[in-house]
Amino acid sequence: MTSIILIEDDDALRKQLCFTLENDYKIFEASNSPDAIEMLKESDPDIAILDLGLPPNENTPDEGLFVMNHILANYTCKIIVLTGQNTKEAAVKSLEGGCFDYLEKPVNINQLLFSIERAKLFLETEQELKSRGVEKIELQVQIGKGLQEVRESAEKNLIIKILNETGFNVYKSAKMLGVKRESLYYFIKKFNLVRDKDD
Amino acid sequence: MIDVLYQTLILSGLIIFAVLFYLKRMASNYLRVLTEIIKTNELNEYDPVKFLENLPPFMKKLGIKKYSYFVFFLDTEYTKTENHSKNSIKKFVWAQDFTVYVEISTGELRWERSYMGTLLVETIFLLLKIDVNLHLKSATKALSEFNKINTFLSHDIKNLAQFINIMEHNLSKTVTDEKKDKLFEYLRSTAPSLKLRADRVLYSLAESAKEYLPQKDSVDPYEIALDIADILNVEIQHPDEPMQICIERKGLIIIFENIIKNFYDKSITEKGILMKMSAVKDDSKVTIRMSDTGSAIPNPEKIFEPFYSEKKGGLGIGLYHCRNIANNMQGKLWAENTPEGPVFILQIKLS
Repeated sequence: MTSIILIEDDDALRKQLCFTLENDYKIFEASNSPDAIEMLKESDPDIAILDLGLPPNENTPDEGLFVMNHILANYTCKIIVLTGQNTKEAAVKSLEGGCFDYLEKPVNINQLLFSIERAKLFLETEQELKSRGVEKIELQVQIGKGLQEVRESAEKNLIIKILNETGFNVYKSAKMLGVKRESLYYFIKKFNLVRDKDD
Repeated sequence: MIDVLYQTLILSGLIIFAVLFYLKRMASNYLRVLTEIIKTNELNEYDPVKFLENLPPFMKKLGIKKYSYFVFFLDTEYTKTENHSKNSIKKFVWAQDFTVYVEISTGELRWERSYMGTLLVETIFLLLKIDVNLHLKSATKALSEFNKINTFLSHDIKNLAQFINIMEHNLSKTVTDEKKDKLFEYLRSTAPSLKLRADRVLYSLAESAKEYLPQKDSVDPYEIALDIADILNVEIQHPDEPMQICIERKGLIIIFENIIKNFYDKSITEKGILMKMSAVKDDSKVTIRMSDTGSAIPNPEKIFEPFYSEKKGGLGIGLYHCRNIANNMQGKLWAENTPEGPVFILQIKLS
């Protein structure tokens, strides 16, 4: 069963959300950031529904963004931000940070349910791809720029990922990628890849 | 020879007297008008626009036929233009958010007229500059407070709207008795927190604390505090014996809610801190102390100032309201730092 953590400081709202979701999902609850961090450790959920305005600073997105960054750094769950913060800055920071969806309160419940379904579908697809040995590759190229750039970005991301995993070991990386070492050197030069300073 | 000298001296004396008399009259006339201008500005509550509207009669009194100005602040501008002579007197300041420009033609620029003209320009310019800055500051402060209230209220109101939206969905989907019981249980258990939130919205909008003090009631302060602590999921250490006092229940709830919520917020960042409560009653008053073992309050008096908050994004109106409520309950509310930690003390006269 897909598990969801509800991080929301409003008890009444959180309980209503619980009631809506508890039949189809396993629900965990937290009302502030320390509780959320603790509960995440215990539950390792698939999806997090996160309010950005959490105590002690309910009127700023700081606490919520802190929890979001914690989730992104430590968990693979999909984050759906459900917030009353109407600042553009909060939305930009959330989306830049990598939240799955950003919904502003009051949202139609069907929209939230649809977002949860989408997150679930993404998770399932990712897990299926993972089981087939395909790792997620981030593409950060606008489609309008053409397929050449998309292909190059995918190549670059894949090579960076493998090089990082092998600690910049070209021999191991070439083996994992199924290419010759010379070809890998060519790509390293082409994409101007350098080992991180702390490596 | 001596006669001529006397005559010359007398004539010179008369001339000096006449000049002095003229200068004194002119100076006192100018001074009177300048004082009237300053008073007019005060009567118009330092409004630069009203001040400019009331300026023409004074300029007429001083014999100034040509004067112009340009004032810009808060995205509004006020202009009066004239074709000035070359030797007009002008002064201006241009800043990021305001501009003040004043120019006066005094006609024949005899030295004394030029001097008085400069004095007039300086006075009008200074008054306008002060008025514009006062307006800018008060408008900026008002806008910032409005934004704070807006943000504060929108957080709670959006949550209430979201709650209603989801509850409507849940009610429409609930068919079995078991589900109905569960929904009822959720509503029952969260109704106090919902009421607390709704009350917070209402008292944030209230102009006067008196609206929240309908009548006195016999209450147990420990019971009220523990109910709020239960909603906020915090613990309060308190003496075992119950206490009954005749007091405005709603006022006490609002004060306790603020103090306990502040403690709750503090406990998130200062793990493991404890809250203690005690109430002592004598014939004339009740003294309620709510202390915690956390960090000291940097300025125990400033926290009661309206729109001052030590929390990021805080509205700064909660404790200000609480003190108002305490005052209206014939009491006092203040904070102190003690070696054991900060304490809020509420002292209410008992009738």
